[in-house]
Amino acid sequence: VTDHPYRSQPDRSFWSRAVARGFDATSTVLTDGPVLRYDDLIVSAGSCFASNLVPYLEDAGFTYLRTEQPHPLFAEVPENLGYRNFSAAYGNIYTARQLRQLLERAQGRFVPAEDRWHVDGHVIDPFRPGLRYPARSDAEFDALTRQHLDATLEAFERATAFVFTLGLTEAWESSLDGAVYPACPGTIAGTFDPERHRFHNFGVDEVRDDLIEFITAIRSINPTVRFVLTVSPVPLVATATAAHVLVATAYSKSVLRVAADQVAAAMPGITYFPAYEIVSGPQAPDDFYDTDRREVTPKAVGVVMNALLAVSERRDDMPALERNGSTPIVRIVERDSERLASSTSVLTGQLIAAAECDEMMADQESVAAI
Amino acid sequence: LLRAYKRRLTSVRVAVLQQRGGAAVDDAYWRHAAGGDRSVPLVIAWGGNGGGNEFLFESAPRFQLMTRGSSSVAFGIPVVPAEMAKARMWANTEPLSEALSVLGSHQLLVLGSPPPKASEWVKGSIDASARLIELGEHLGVDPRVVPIAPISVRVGAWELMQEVLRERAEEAGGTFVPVPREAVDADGALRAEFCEEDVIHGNADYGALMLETVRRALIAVAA
Repeated sequence: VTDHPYRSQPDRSFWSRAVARGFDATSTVLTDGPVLRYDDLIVSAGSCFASNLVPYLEDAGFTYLRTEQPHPLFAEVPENLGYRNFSAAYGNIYTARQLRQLLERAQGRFVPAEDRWHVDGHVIDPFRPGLRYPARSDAEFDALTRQHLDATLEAFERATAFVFTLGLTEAWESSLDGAVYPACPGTIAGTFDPERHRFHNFGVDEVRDDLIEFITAIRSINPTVRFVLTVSPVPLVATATAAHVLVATAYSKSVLRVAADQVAAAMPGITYFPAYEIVSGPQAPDDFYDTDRREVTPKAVGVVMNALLAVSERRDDMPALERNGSTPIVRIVERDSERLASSTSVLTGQLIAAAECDEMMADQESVAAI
Repeated sequence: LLRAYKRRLTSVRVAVLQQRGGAAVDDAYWRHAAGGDRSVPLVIAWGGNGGGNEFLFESAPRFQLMTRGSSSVAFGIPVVPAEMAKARMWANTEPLSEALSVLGSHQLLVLGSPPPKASEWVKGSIDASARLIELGEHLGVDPRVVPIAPISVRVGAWELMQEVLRERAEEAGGTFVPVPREAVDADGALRAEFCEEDVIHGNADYGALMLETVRRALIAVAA
């Protein structure tokens, strides 16, 4: 038998040794050093899956940087759609274009033409349409939006590790200037207007270029920040293409996966973390998804987070890893549900309160069933 | 104010809920109020003079509210969404809603709460006010050290509270009786001629003004 390149490959390169038996999620991470460091100031953004990592990181003793939190006097007042889940109140960011535009808006390099919707005496932010407490005047809207964008920029400037979870390729954008919305206008707030709003399904080159543009811009103000890219394993709620939602999901995740790989290969200081593969791969147990085969279970999130923490740098005095990983996230979901159930929303009330993220509002029948 | 009501509104039963201090008010109180002649309208002065107490002192960190008339913002001080502040007040007035529900068979009028006083009035009274010291202890602040919140914040909070009281009243099928514009100055504070020599109370002239406002409201409702 002649020598060949596979002879020198490690066990993780072989399905029979790495997947068919003894699968270890930790071994899926390819990195030269710790993905996260114990003294990192961690900022994250992305789809709702991205918010799941936060309680795990904090429970494990890492510092999750928060630059925009409610005033202590109003800390118990509930919020919608996870706007308090991230470093600043930008909510879910599903596409790379949305992330890039968020930074450009924070830096004043992009001012969307359609930057507000006037609805029933309130001024709605199209980029945070589910905010529970919208402004009551243009002046208040301007002040709150500037405050939010300043807090966002501060988080981006101070982060030492930035985790971004790519969620979708499908998006709705303004036909005036290409401003990308987190949700189709009209699903959460505002009114859909085919003259002003159009559908766009991003391709690999667009996602890659948006990510590179974003990372380059961040590093111009924060040169040493490291990035961790992940792809959300959560399937699409709905597709606006003609394809079956399952097929559309495969396209979307494939594009995001390839783009993430290309960016990680093209730029230094970027790690691809395979949360998508750990949860959705053929090795994953049936109970990594709930019965709807879309909702990722706390068990799966726990496995992902344990893998992430296992390849991160930790101090001796940091809390021990919770191997089953399920307790923290379950606790948080229950608490939020209780709070939301006991209050009403300025917008569409219980429907938004029941939804976990903007994307779910594309399928309001399923939200109403919660 | 309460004395004025009792003395002059002989045909109107008045129920006053003291949220802090004073006599405790429970379901029996409201059932008793509801048990009399149902043709007699009830005027609810919710929270007495203390409705804005929790916004009396400067909070840490400071914040500002932009109510509907606000067009400028102070640099460097976080803006709390007015709707968020209102949501907190809405939650805190749930007992009012329950009380109005108990009283539902009566004609109900919910009285606007007294506007905040100008900072000079509050500062001038602060050392003499055992009530304020007590309030500070309740809120975890020392009134002799912690500044009084800017009048813009206190007026903003008061305006939101008036909205909440109006919505609570209308939710119960009642009528909200707002404080007339003539009671407040250009900043929205209670005008000096209506201030008692203390931190929060209106004087007899304010009581008379509100009494007349209630009388007009009753006439309007009857019409």
